[in-house]
Amino acid sequence: MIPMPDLRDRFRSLDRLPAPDLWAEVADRAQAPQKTNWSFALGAAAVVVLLAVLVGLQLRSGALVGGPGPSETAPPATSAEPIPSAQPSPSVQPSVEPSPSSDLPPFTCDLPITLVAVGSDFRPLITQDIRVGTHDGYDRIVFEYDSGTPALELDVAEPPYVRDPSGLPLTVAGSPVYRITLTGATKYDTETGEQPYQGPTNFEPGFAQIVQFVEFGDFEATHNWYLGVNGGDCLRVFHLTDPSRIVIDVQH
Amino acid sequence: MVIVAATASATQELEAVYRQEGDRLWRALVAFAGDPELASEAVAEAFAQALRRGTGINDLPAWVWRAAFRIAAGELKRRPLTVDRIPDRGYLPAIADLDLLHALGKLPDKQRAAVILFYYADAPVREIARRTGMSQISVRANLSRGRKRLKDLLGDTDA
Repeated sequence: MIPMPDLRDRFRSLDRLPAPDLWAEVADRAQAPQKTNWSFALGAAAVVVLLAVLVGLQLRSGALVGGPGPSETAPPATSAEPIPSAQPSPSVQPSVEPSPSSDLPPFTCDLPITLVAVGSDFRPLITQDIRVGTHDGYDRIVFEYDSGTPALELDVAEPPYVRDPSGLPLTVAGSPVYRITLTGATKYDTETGEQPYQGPTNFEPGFAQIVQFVEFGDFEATHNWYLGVNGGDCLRVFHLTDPSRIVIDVQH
Repeated sequence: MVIVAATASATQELEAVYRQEGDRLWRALVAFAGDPELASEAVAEAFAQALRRGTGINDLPAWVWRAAFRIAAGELKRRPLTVDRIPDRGYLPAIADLDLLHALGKLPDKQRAAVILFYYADAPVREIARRTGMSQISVRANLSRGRKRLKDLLGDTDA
Protein backbone atom coordinates (compact mmCIF):
# COMPACT_ATOMS: atom_id res chain seq x y z
CA MET A 1 0.00 0.00 0.00
CA ILE A 2 1.42 3.35 -0.97
CA PRO A 3 0.22 5.95 1.50
CA MET A 4 -1.02 9.27 0.26
CA PRO A 5 1.35 11.89 1.63
CA ASP A 6 -1.36 14.46 1.27
CA LEU A 7 -3.74 12.56 3.52
CA ARG A 8 -1.03 11.82 6.04
CA ASP A 9 -0.24 15.53 6.24
CA ARG A 10 -3.85 16.32 6.87
CA PHE A 11 -3.93 13.85 9.74
CA ARG A 12 -0.86 15.53 11.18
CA SER A 13 -3.06 18.59 11.72
CA LEU A 14 -4.58 16.68 14.62
CA ASP A 15 -1.36 17.32 16.51
CA ARG A 16 -2.42 20.93 16.82
CA LEU A 17 -5.30 19.97 19.11
CA PRO A 18 -4.36 20.68 22.72
CA ALA A 19 -4.81 17.39 24.56
CA PRO A 20 -5.90 17.60 28.21
CA ASP A 21 -3.90 15.87 30.97
CA LEU A 22 -6.28 13.17 32.14
CA TRP A 23 -4.01 11.26 34.50
CA ALA A 24 -5.59 12.69 37.67
CA GLU A 25 -8.99 11.73 36.31
CA VAL A 26 -7.71 8.21 35.62
CA ALA A 27 -6.59 7.79 39.22
CA ASP A 28 -9.94 9.13 40.52
CA ARG A 29 -11.91 6.78 38.35
CA ALA A 30 -9.85 3.76 39.26
CA GLN A 31 -10.76 4.31 42.91
CA ALA A 32 -14.40 5.31 42.41
CA PRO A 33 -17.12 2.68 42.16
CA GLN A 34 -17.36 1.64 38.58
CA LYS A 35 -20.17 2.80 36.36
CA THR A 36 -22.32 0.06 34.95
CA ASN A 37 -22.28 1.35 31.40
CA TRP A 38 -18.57 0.92 31.16
CA SER A 39 -18.20 -2.02 33.30
CA PHE A 40 -18.13 -5.19 31.37
CA ALA A 41 -14.40 -5.36 30.85
CA LEU A 42 -13.47 -4.55 34.34
CA GLY A 43 -16.57 -5.99 35.88
CA ALA A 44 -15.43 -9.33 34.59
CA ALA A 45 -12.06 -8.90 36.24
CA ALA A 46 -13.51 -7.60 39.49
CA VAL A 47 -16.05 -10.35 39.86
CA VAL A 48 -13.46 -13.03 39.26
CA VAL A 49 -11.51 -11.58 42.16
CA LEU A 50 -14.70 -11.39 44.23
CA LEU A 51 -15.44 -15.00 43.42
CA ALA A 52 -11.91 -15.96 44.44
CA VAL A 53 -12.35 -14.09 47.72
CA LEU A 54 -15.68 -15.79 48.38
CA VAL A 55 -14.25 -19.20 47.65
CA GLY A 56 -11.30 -18.37 49.88
CA LEU A 57 -13.61 -17.39 52.71
CA GLN A 58 -15.60 -20.54 52.31
CA LEU A 59 -12.49 -22.69 52.39
CA ARG A 60 -11.18 -20.90 55.45
CA SER A 61 -14.46 -21.26 57.31
CA GLY A 62 -14.67 -24.89 56.34
CA ALA A 63 -18.13 -24.31 54.98
CA LEU A 64 -17.52 -25.75 51.57
CA VAL A 65 -19.38 -29.02 51.56
CA GLY A 66 -17.44 -31.98 50.25
CA GLY A 67 -14.74 -31.77 47.63
CA PRO A 68 -14.88 -30.21 44.21
CA GLY A 69 -18.11 -31.36 42.63
CA PRO A 70 -18.75 -32.62 39.14
CA SER A 71 -18.97 -30.00 36.44
CA GLU A 72 -22.75 -30.20 36.36
CA THR A 73 -22.94 -29.11 39.96
CA ALA A 74 -24.37 -25.64 40.21
CA PRO A 75 -22.27 -23.24 42.23
CA PRO A 76 -24.32 -21.52 44.90
CA ALA A 77 -26.20 -18.43 43.83
CA THR A 78 -25.17 -15.24 45.53
CA SER A 79 -27.66 -12.71 46.80
CA ALA A 80 -27.47 -9.27 48.35
CA GLU A 81 -25.51 -10.79 51.21
CA PRO A 82 -23.33 -13.08 49.17
CA ILE A 83 -21.22 -14.68 51.86
CA PRO A 84 -23.87 -16.15 54.15
CA SER A 85 -26.17 -17.28 51.38
CA ALA A 86 -23.29 -18.71 49.41
CA GLN A 87 -22.82 -21.34 52.06
CA PRO A 88 -24.95 -24.33 51.31
CA SER A 89 -26.30 -25.01 54.78
CA PRO A 90 -29.70 -26.66 54.48
CA SER A 91 -30.24 -26.63 58.23
CA VAL A 92 -30.39 -22.83 58.20
CA GLN A 93 -32.23 -22.26 54.96
CA PRO A 94 -35.95 -22.98 54.91
CA SER A 95 -36.25 -26.12 52.84
CA VAL A 96 -37.87 -25.02 49.63
CA GLU A 97 -35.74 -26.98 47.24
CA PRO A 98 -37.55 -29.14 44.73
CA SER A 99 -36.78 -32.80 44.60
CA PRO A 100 -34.67 -33.21 41.42
CA SER A 101 -31.26 -32.38 42.78
CA SER A 102 -30.02 -31.33 46.16
CA ASP A 103 -27.04 -29.73 44.41
CA LEU A 104 -29.14 -26.78 43.32
CA PRO A 105 -29.20 -23.65 45.42
CA PRO A 106 -32.40 -22.92 47.35
CA PHE A 107 -35.08 -20.60 46.05
CA THR A 108 -34.85 -17.16 47.52
CA CYS A 109 -37.39 -14.38 47.81
CA ASP A 110 -34.72 -11.83 48.68
CA LEU A 111 -33.94 -9.41 45.88
CA PRO A 112 -31.82 -8.36 44.15
CA ILE A 113 -30.19 -11.61 43.15
CA THR A 114 -26.72 -11.24 41.72
CA LEU A 115 -24.40 -13.68 40.07
CA VAL A 116 -20.76 -13.10 39.33
CA ALA A 117 -19.25 -13.59 35.89
CA VAL A 118 -17.30 -16.77 35.32
CA GLY A 119 -14.39 -17.12 32.95
CA SER A 120 -15.29 -14.09 30.89
CA ASP A 121 -12.66 -11.88 29.35
CA PHE A 122 -12.52 -8.42 27.83
CA ARG A 123 -14.47 -9.71 24.88
CA PRO A 124 -18.22 -10.01 25.53
CA LEU A 125 -19.76 -13.47 25.67
CA ILE A 126 -21.93 -14.44 22.73
CA THR A 127 -25.37 -15.83 23.45
CA GLN A 128 -25.69 -19.27 21.85
CA ASP A 129 -29.22 -20.15 22.88
CA ILE A 130 -32.12 -18.96 25.00
CA ARG A 131 -34.69 -21.48 26.21
CA VAL A 132 -37.83 -21.25 28.28
CA GLY A 133 -39.46 -24.35 29.72
CA THR A 134 -41.69 -25.58 32.49
CA HIS A 135 -40.91 -28.33 34.97
CA ASP A 136 -42.47 -29.97 37.98
CA GLY A 137 -42.42 -27.22 40.60
CA TYR A 138 -40.80 -24.42 38.59
CA ASP A 139 -40.53 -22.65 35.24
CA ARG A 140 -37.03 -22.33 33.85
CA ILE A 141 -35.13 -19.88 31.67
CA VAL A 142 -31.71 -20.85 30.29
CA PHE A 143 -29.12 -18.64 28.63
CA GLU A 144 -26.32 -20.54 26.93
CA TYR A 145 -22.93 -18.96 26.09
CA ASP A 146 -19.86 -19.77 24.07
CA SER A 147 -17.50 -19.74 27.06
CA GLY A 148 -18.08 -18.60 30.61
CA THR A 149 -21.13 -16.76 31.88
CA PRO A 150 -21.77 -13.04 32.30
CA ALA A 151 -22.55 -11.21 35.51
CA LEU A 152 -26.26 -11.13 36.30
CA GLU A 153 -28.49 -8.92 38.33
CA LEU A 154 -32.16 -9.65 38.84
CA ASP A 155 -34.39 -7.16 40.61
CA VAL A 156 -37.96 -5.95 40.63
CA ALA A 157 -38.72 -3.58 37.74
CA GLU A 158 -41.00 -0.61 38.11
CA PRO A 159 -43.08 0.75 35.24
CA PRO A 160 -42.82 2.47 32.84
CA TYR A 161 -41.08 -0.34 30.97
CA VAL A 162 -38.97 0.93 28.12
CA ARG A 163 -36.67 -0.40 25.47
CA ASP A 164 -33.01 0.32 25.93
CA PRO A 165 -31.48 2.50 24.52
CA SER A 166 -34.34 3.87 22.40
CA GLY A 167 -36.60 4.63 25.37
CA LEU A 168 -39.61 3.40 23.41
CA PRO A 169 -42.38 2.13 25.68
CA LEU A 170 -42.95 -1.57 26.14
CA THR A 171 -45.78 -3.43 27.80
CA VAL A 172 -44.93 -6.45 29.90
CA ALA A 173 -47.63 -8.87 31.00
CA GLY A 174 -47.53 -10.42 34.46
CA SER A 175 -46.95 -9.18 37.98
CA PRO A 176 -44.50 -8.70 39.48
CA VAL A 177 -42.13 -7.84 36.65
CA TYR A 178 -38.43 -8.45 37.13
CA ARG A 179 -35.56 -6.89 35.30
CA ILE A 180 -32.66 -9.18 34.39
CA THR A 181 -29.38 -7.56 33.37
CA LEU A 182 -26.59 -9.69 31.93
CA THR A 183 -23.41 -7.66 31.87
CA GLY A 184 -20.72 -8.73 29.41
CA ALA A 185 -23.00 -10.60 27.04
CA THR A 186 -24.61 -9.97 23.67
CA LYS A 187 -26.28 -11.87 20.84
CA TYR A 188 -24.08 -10.25 18.20
CA ASP A 189 -20.51 -11.25 17.58
CA THR A 190 -19.20 -7.97 16.23
CA GLU A 191 -15.88 -9.49 15.26
CA THR A 192 -17.28 -12.19 13.01
CA GLY A 193 -20.57 -10.47 12.23
CA GLU A 194 -22.40 -13.61 13.28
CA GLN A 195 -25.42 -14.05 15.48
CA PRO A 196 -25.63 -17.66 16.65
CA TYR A 197 -28.95 -17.20 18.42
CA GLN A 198 -31.66 -16.04 16.06
CA GLY A 199 -34.65 -17.34 18.00
CA PRO A 200 -37.38 -15.34 19.70
CA THR A 201 -36.66 -12.42 21.98
CA ASN A 202 -40.19 -12.34 23.31
CA PHE A 203 -41.68 -15.40 25.00
CA GLU A 204 -45.27 -15.60 26.16
CA PRO A 205 -45.40 -19.28 27.02
CA GLY A 206 -48.46 -19.32 29.24
CA PHE A 207 -46.71 -21.32 31.94
CA ALA A 208 -47.83 -21.42 35.56
CA GLN A 209 -45.40 -18.65 36.51
CA ILE A 210 -43.71 -17.21 33.39
CA VAL A 211 -46.26 -14.97 31.72
CA GLN A 212 -43.89 -12.99 29.53
CA PHE A 213 -40.13 -12.91 29.06
CA VAL A 214 -39.03 -10.18 26.72
CA GLU A 215 -35.73 -8.61 25.72
CA PHE A 216 -35.60 -4.87 26.14
CA GLY A 217 -32.01 -4.17 25.26
CA ASP A 218 -28.86 -5.67 23.76
CA PHE A 219 -26.11 -3.12 23.31
CA GLU A 220 -22.71 -2.29 24.68
CA ALA A 221 -22.35 -5.84 25.92
CA THR A 222 -25.32 -5.48 28.25
CA HIS A 223 -28.24 -7.78 27.61
CA ASN A 224 -31.47 -6.73 29.32
CA TRP A 225 -34.72 -8.64 29.79
CA TYR A 226 -38.03 -8.19 31.55
CA LEU A 227 -39.65 -11.19 33.18
CA GLY A 228 -43.35 -10.92 34.00
CA VAL A 229 -44.56 -13.65 36.34
CA ASN A 230 -47.80 -14.79 37.85
CA GLY A 231 -47.51 -13.54 41.42
CA GLY A 232 -44.54 -15.74 42.27
CA ASP A 233 -41.64 -14.13 43.99
CA CYS A 234 -39.20 -16.88 44.86
CA LEU A 235 -36.44 -17.58 42.38
CA ARG A 236 -33.14 -19.29 42.09
CA VAL A 237 -30.36 -18.34 39.75
CA PHE A 238 -27.21 -20.34 39.12
CA HIS A 239 -24.53 -21.29 36.62
CA LEU A 240 -24.07 -24.57 34.88
CA THR A 241 -20.97 -25.51 32.94
CA ASP A 242 -20.25 -27.50 29.82
CA PRO A 243 -21.85 -25.79 28.03
CA SER A 244 -21.79 -22.54 29.97
CA ARG A 245 -25.27 -21.61 31.03
CA ILE A 246 -27.16 -19.31 33.36
CA VAL A 247 -30.35 -20.78 34.76
CA ILE A 248 -33.23 -18.79 36.23
CA ASP A 249 -35.95 -20.82 37.92
CA VAL A 250 -39.28 -19.35 39.01
CA GLN A 251 -40.91 -21.43 41.72
CA HIS A 252 -44.50 -22.51 41.20
CA MET B 1 -7.76 -8.36 52.09
CA VAL B 2 -7.04 -8.94 48.43
CA ILE B 3 -8.63 -6.14 46.50
CA VAL B 4 -8.25 -4.86 42.97
CA ALA B 5 -5.67 -2.28 43.93
CA ALA B 6 -2.87 -1.88 41.46
CA THR B 7 0.59 -2.06 42.89
CA ALA B 8 2.75 1.03 42.88
CA SER B 9 4.96 -0.30 40.10
CA ALA B 10 1.97 -1.22 37.93
CA THR B 11 0.64 2.31 38.44
CA GLN B 12 3.97 3.83 37.45
CA GLU B 13 4.18 1.62 34.40
CA LEU B 14 0.70 2.64 33.35
CA GLU B 15 1.44 6.32 33.92
CA ALA B 16 4.49 5.97 31.70
CA VAL B 17 2.23 4.51 29.00
CA TYR B 18 -0.17 7.40 29.53
CA ARG B 19 2.62 9.97 29.20
CA GLN B 20 3.78 8.29 26.02
CA GLU B 21 0.46 7.43 24.37
CA GLY B 22 -2.22 9.52 26.07
CA ASP B 23 -2.13 12.65 23.91
CA ARG B 24 -1.96 10.76 20.65
CA LEU B 25 -4.70 8.40 21.72
CA TRP B 26 -6.87 11.36 22.72
CA ARG B 27 -6.37 13.06 19.35
CA ALA B 28 -7.03 9.83 17.49
CA LEU B 29 -10.28 9.51 19.44
CA VAL B 30 -11.26 13.10 18.64
CA ALA B 31 -10.84 12.13 15.01
CA PHE B 32 -12.81 8.95 15.62
CA ALA B 33 -15.67 10.45 17.61
CA GLY B 34 -15.56 14.08 16.53
CA ASP B 35 -16.05 15.05 20.13
CA PRO B 36 -13.27 16.11 22.52
CA GLU B 37 -15.37 15.34 25.60
CA LEU B 38 -16.13 11.84 24.45
CA ALA B 39 -12.44 11.38 23.67
CA SER B 40 -11.50 12.46 27.20
CA GLU B 41 -14.10 10.14 28.68
CA ALA B 42 -12.87 7.17 26.66
CA VAL B 43 -9.18 7.79 27.42
CA ALA B 44 -9.77 8.27 31.16
CA GLU B 45 -12.01 5.23 31.38
CA ALA B 46 -9.69 3.00 29.39
CA PHE B 47 -6.70 3.87 31.56
CA ALA B 48 -8.79 3.59 34.73
CA GLN B 49 -9.86 0.10 33.68
CA ALA B 50 -6.25 -0.84 33.05
CA LEU B 51 -5.29 0.55 36.46
CA ARG B 52 -7.99 -1.44 38.22
CA ARG B 53 -6.85 -4.57 36.44
CA GLY B 54 -3.39 -4.19 37.87
CA THR B 55 -0.64 -6.32 36.40
CA GLY B 56 -2.62 -8.76 34.30
CA ILE B 57 -2.18 -7.06 30.92
CA ASN B 58 0.58 -8.14 28.55
CA ASP B 59 0.71 -5.37 26.00
CA LEU B 60 -0.49 -2.28 27.82
CA PRO B 61 -0.43 0.24 24.95
CA ALA B 62 -2.37 -2.06 22.63
CA TRP B 63 -4.84 -2.94 25.41
CA VAL B 64 -5.50 0.70 26.26
CA TRP B 65 -5.95 1.74 22.64
CA ARG B 66 -8.36 -1.09 22.05
CA ALA B 67 -10.32 -0.41 25.23
CA ALA B 68 -10.54 3.32 24.50
CA PHE B 69 -11.75 2.77 20.92
CA ARG B 70 -14.31 0.24 22.12
CA ILE B 71 -15.58 2.62 24.77
CA ALA B 72 -15.80 5.46 22.27
CA ALA B 73 -17.57 3.23 19.72
CA GLY B 74 -20.02 2.14 22.41
CA GLU B 75 -20.77 5.73 23.34
CA LEU B 76 -21.29 6.67 19.69
CA LYS B 77 -23.78 3.83 19.35
CA ARG B 78 -25.80 5.21 22.23
CA ARG B 79 -26.40 8.43 20.35
CA PRO B 80 -29.61 8.63 18.37
CA LEU B 81 -29.01 7.68 14.77
CA THR B 82 -30.85 10.73 13.51
CA VAL B 83 -28.19 13.02 14.93
CA ASP B 84 -25.12 13.72 12.87
CA ARG B 85 -22.37 11.83 14.61
CA ILE B 86 -19.94 14.65 14.13
CA PRO B 87 -21.16 17.66 16.08
CA ASP B 88 -21.33 21.22 14.84
CA ARG B 89 -18.16 22.85 13.73
CA GLY B 90 -18.24 25.27 16.65
CA TYR B 91 -17.79 22.31 18.94
CA LEU B 92 -14.23 21.71 17.86
CA PRO B 93 -11.27 24.04 18.09
CA ALA B 94 -10.96 25.93 14.84
CA ILE B 95 -7.36 24.82 14.49
CA ALA B 96 -8.46 21.31 13.63
CA ASP B 97 -8.85 20.22 10.02
CA LEU B 98 -12.63 20.23 10.19
CA ASP B 99 -13.13 19.01 6.63
CA LEU B 100 -11.08 15.96 7.46
CA LEU B 101 -13.03 15.34 10.67
CA HIS B 102 -16.37 15.66 8.90
CA ALA B 103 -15.26 13.34 6.13
CA LEU B 104 -14.11 10.82 8.73
CA GLY B 105 -17.51 11.10 10.37
CA LYS B 106 -19.10 9.73 7.20
CA LEU B 107 -17.09 6.49 7.37
CA PRO B 108 -18.31 3.37 9.16
CA ASP B 109 -16.67 2.78 12.56
CA LYS B 110 -14.22 0.11 11.43
CA GLN B 111 -13.06 2.00 8.37
CA ARG B 112 -12.66 5.14 10.42
CA ALA B 113 -10.66 3.37 13.14
CA ALA B 114 -8.41 1.67 10.59
CA VAL B 115 -7.72 4.87 8.66
CA ILE B 116 -6.96 6.88 11.81
CA LEU B 117 -4.63 4.27 13.21
CA PHE B 118 -2.83 3.97 9.88
CA TYR B 119 -2.48 7.64 8.98
CA TYR B 120 -2.38 9.31 12.35
CA ALA B 121 -0.98 6.70 14.73
CA ASP B 122 1.40 5.34 12.05
CA ALA B 123 0.46 1.82 13.03
CA PRO B 124 1.20 -1.03 10.61
CA VAL B 125 -1.59 -3.44 9.69
CA ARG B 126 -0.60 -6.00 12.31
CA GLU B 127 -0.62 -3.36 15.02
CA ILE B 128 -3.97 -1.97 13.85
CA ALA B 129 -5.36 -5.49 14.14
CA ARG B 130 -4.12 -5.74 17.71
CA ARG B 131 -5.43 -2.34 18.64
CA THR B 132 -8.89 -2.84 17.19
CA GLY B 133 -9.51 -6.55 17.66
CA MET B 134 -10.05 -6.94 13.89
CA SER B 135 -8.30 -9.60 11.85
CA GLN B 136 -5.47 -8.43 9.60
CA ILE B 137 -7.59 -9.25 6.56
CA SER B 138 -10.39 -7.15 7.94
CA VAL B 139 -7.98 -4.30 8.67
CA ARG B 140 -6.68 -4.35 5.10
CA ALA B 141 -10.19 -4.34 3.68
CA ASN B 142 -11.38 -1.54 5.95
CA LEU B 143 -8.26 0.48 5.33
CA SER B 144 -8.58 0.17 1.60
CA ARG B 145 -12.29 1.06 1.55
CA GLY B 146 -11.87 3.82 4.11
CA ARG B 147 -9.02 5.43 2.25
CA LYS B 148 -10.88 5.37 -1.03
CA ARG B 149 -14.00 6.86 0.53
CA LEU B 150 -12.01 9.52 2.32
CA LYS B 151 -10.23 10.43 -0.88
CA ASP B 152 -13.56 10.77 -2.67
CA LEU B 153 -15.00 12.90 0.11
CA LEU B 154 -12.01 15.20 0.32
CA GLY B 155 -11.38 15.33 -3.40
CA ASP B 156 -7.74 14.50 -2.87
CA THR B 157 -5.59 13.35 -5.70
CA ASP B 158 -3.36 10.44 -4.99
CA ALA B 159 0.18 11.69 -4.88
